[in-house]
Amino acid sequence: MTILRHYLELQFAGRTFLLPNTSDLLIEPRENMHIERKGQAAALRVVQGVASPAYILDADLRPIMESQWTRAVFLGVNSGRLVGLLIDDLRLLPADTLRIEPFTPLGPVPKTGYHLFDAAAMATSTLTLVFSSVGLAAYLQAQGDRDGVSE
Amino acid sequence: MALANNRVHALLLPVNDRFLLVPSALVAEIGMVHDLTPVPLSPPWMLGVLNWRFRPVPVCDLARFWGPPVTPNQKSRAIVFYPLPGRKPTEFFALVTSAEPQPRTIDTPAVLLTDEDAVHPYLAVSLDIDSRRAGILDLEALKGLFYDDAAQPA
Repeated sequence: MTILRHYLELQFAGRTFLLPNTSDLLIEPRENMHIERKGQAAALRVVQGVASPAYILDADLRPIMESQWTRAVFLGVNSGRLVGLLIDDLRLLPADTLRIEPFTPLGPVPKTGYHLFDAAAMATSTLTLVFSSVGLAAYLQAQGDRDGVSE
Repeated sequence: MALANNRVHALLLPVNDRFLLVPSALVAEIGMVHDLTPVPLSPPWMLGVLNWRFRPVPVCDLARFWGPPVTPNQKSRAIVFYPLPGRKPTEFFALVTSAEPQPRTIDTPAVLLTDEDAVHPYLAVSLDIDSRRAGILDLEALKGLFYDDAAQPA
């Protein structure tokens, strides 16, 4: 079992979420990205002719086209099917400074079959939702599948 | 239909113009509704997540299934329920009320249940208590509303 040492604190659309920092992730600065709209994707990572889409999401996690994004967080390194989330800011948080509790979202699961969140980081009176890596990757892939721009 | 000969400690939950009656044994705690964290892609009845004793507890508004939704205010309370049968021990959930719940002891032989309100989603039966009609939750239906069988383990 891999011991999770860090979480990424992702800031976008005025909200903050956490994402487990695993070997399946890749972070690209804005300057390494091609700012090119393709379907719902707002930018692309192009390496050796292979373009991987990245998406800007609003606070309701709907794809939008404009934001003050500075980096792209790509998921799916191990599967070879990269898909990215464009974020405004990013911090690396040591896992041992967080109190992570499991969380099951209520209501219908997205069409991907995976919930977007599976935990929450608990503070004194507030909390921060933690993305499920699998759920987020599937959700972003589905944005591309919908308009045929996935890798 | 009459219930078995028993006294049941219960809570009468005001939910706008309706009342819910729930056995006290189902309720872990009654708290204030504060600092709800919205969960993207949730249905409208899911108001957000509450930090309850360092546990993330989803807070739901069931009123909108029967009438206008509850707008949480100073009088509102979050009724934290123990997990539904068959669910994980961490899966507490909360219902929002429009005012403070009232404790009641129900002498079950004295009350008559009606299925008049069974047409309302998530209510199994109702009963008249203190000249008020109070609905009793259909926990199986609630489980079906909350937890999607199609969800894959991440």
